[in-house]
Amino acid sequence: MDEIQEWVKQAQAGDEAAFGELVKCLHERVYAVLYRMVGNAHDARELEQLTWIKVWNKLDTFKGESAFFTWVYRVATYTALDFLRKRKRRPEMELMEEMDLKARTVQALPPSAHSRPDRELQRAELRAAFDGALAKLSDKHRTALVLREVEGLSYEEIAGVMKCRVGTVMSRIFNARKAMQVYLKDLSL
Amino acid sequence: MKNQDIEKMISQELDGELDPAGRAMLIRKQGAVLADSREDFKKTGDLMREGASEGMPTAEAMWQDVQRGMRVGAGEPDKGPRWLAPWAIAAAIAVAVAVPFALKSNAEPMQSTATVEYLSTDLPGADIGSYVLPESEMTVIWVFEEESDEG
Repeated sequence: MDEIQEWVKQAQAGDEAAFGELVKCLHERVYAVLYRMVGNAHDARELEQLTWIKVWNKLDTFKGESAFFTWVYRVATYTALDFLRKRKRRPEMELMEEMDLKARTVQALPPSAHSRPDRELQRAELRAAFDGALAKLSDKHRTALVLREVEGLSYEEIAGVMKCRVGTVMSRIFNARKAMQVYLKDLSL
Repeated sequence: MKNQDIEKMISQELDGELDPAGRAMLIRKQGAVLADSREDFKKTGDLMREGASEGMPTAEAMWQDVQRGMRVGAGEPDKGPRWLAPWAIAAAIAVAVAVPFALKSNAEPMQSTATVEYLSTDLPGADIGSYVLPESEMTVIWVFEEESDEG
């Protein structure tokens, strides 16, 4: 963590290489959160790029009142929520094409060297069904659940990222889990 | 205590957010149905973590993406001259045509109903702005797109 603070200070002084270290250090965690929020690799990658550009442009406003990663997640979360709001306004046909592409991608997934192809396909179908169920959650419920399950943030940290009360976080996570329980039961998973 | 209240406690306990008194109560109250809920909640978490790195670029590739974006944002000269996107030109022409027409066809002054509070565009490096034509109170929104090196 000391290393991160040092890089933050250097980056705030305009050191691009130090900022690069921050990007590389937190990249996997930021990507995983964004991927689970938006549900596909292409958008997750673009949103991560956008997140880091925003972070770079706003670095001087980071005062160290929260952990740096919490601040980055806040930028990433708002970037993704904004994207999701815009995506909802897209024509239905475009969304259907995207879903169709995803289904075809699942069918085309190559089997790994150590597993049976039918089991691999079953796994891919399960993942696709799970992703579909996750997409049915409201953006706020999904975000809270993602920050908890993927990133392992505490309720307090999630409240800091989502700018809401700890009780609200607890309730969103519980309701998201209950909804997923129902969806997964319907899918017989 | 209702099952749902106990399930809430299970959810908190899985997250390490339940106090010792709550944990003690949970041990006393759990039954088969609630054990199922615990398993389902855990399964959701497992599946979420399992696929979260799908299609993830390497850290180096991401840093290159970010650097490219930073250069575009800073308007460095290596990105070439700024050009208006064809649709931005079309929008400008449409406004240029529409404004005199609107001014001629409305003898009464137009009522201003549009308030621009926020503008954004998905185009990386694009500049966006708005102004109100003083005579007609028509709001004009401009988007200037930067031509990328990749074509």
